[in-house]
Amino acid sequence: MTEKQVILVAEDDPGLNRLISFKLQKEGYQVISVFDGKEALNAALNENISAITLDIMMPFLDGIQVLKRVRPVKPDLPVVVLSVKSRENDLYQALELGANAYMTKPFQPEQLVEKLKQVLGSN
Amino acid sequence: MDAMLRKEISHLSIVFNQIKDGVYITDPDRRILFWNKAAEEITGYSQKEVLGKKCADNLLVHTDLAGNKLCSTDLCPLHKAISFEKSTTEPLVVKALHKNGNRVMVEVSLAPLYSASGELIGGIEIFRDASEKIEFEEQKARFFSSLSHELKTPLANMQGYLKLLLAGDAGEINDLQEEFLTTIFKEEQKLGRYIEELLDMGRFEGTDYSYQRNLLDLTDLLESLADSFSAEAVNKGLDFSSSIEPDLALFGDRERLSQAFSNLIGNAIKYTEQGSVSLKAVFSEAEDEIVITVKDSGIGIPEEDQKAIFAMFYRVEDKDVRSKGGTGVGLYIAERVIGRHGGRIELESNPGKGTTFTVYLPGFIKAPSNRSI
Repeated sequence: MTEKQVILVAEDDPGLNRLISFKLQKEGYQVISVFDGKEALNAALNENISAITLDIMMPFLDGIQVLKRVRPVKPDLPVVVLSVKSRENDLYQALELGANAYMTKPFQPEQLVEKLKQVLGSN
Repeated sequence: MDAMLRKEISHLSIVFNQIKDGVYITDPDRRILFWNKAAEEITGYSQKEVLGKKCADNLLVHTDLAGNKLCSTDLCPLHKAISFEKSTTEPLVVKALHKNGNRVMVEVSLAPLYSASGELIGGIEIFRDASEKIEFEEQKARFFSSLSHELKTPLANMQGYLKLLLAGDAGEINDLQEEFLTTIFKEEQKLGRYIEELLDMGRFEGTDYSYQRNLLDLTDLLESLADSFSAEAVNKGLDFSSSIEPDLALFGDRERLSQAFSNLIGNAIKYTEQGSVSLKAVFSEAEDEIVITVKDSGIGIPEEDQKAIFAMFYRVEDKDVRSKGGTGVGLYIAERVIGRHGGRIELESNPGKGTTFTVYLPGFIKAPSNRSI
């Protein structure tokens, strides 16, 4: 097997972050977990990652801001944004800013894995 | 005619001026003959300023919540009440213009007025300031929306972890551990359903002003529900049949009606162990309304419970029924939603034999030219 793909998991809910990360590791990915927007931006710009799962509502910088700053630098990086359905405007905005896919919370980790595989595959 | 009405009014003005709701009375041409103290307070206009004017003289500039003008149109609720001689059954929420230029939300009730001999002599509008109430409703809706997120997130996380444990992803588990984890998983799912029901109630209760009034294809709505519920019924070993007349249409709120009918059909399946569940919808020419029946061959509802069954949180007190789970808000929601669409629900039930819920909804058959392609 070739080198593991690295997924950046940006999610401020520790329970969900660990769950997603654990599941992705089980699926054979390497994971970088971050818990706020600043860390997410930093990792997205400086680490060699294959994709991001990006929560929208996060402290310091929200997912939208992170996406705005990452896109010009890494236009092809697959991004799956996560948000609650009641904030679907955020999701539309994220898609306009170049997110590749979105998941509405709550979801089961296997659904996210599926989405990630899709965006990684199409890349 | 006017003289008769004026005499009545002068008798009643003492009473009208004591009540907190705005009241005004017009002749059949909607010319204002009386305007009580509360009306002065709510609108800023004194009785002197408005007497003799037509309410359609753009005084209050009533609009619906979407901002569509109602005054001087056939949509004017008072005009409708007088010309169709029909009282409002539920208060309408409209916006009115205060003398100071502010928009106020008012709840209005209207009725035609008759002389003792039964002659139409005018109309009455009773209104109250609903701004605070609506503000409260909006706050409540926001609260439920954030509560929904706060409650569902940890539940979904727990379910995710349980799935990992059960799949052995965190190491092998023994049979007893598997049994206990499965129990936790099921209990958690139950909790999730209860939360969902309570949140539904929060979403559907009270926020009447936010009802949509869109032209909607009821045939399509019912058919898609029939599709999704037939699988559930068949899984339970029940016969599921549906017969829905084409082109049934009405003005209403699709999401809420869908919820109401889901609750009725879902209940029918839930409380039926064997036999059949059927859904039928027809347009009744005679009554000019749509009649939808949801019929099951289930456990039925004891007569003493039939009246109370639509009350919030009501559950039939029966050991067997309790074991079905649920919070008792389903029928409550259904009745509220149907009521808000000007309809009603009737029920007929024989314990042990089954239950039929019949919904009567004002509606129509879409003209062939409007049929979607």
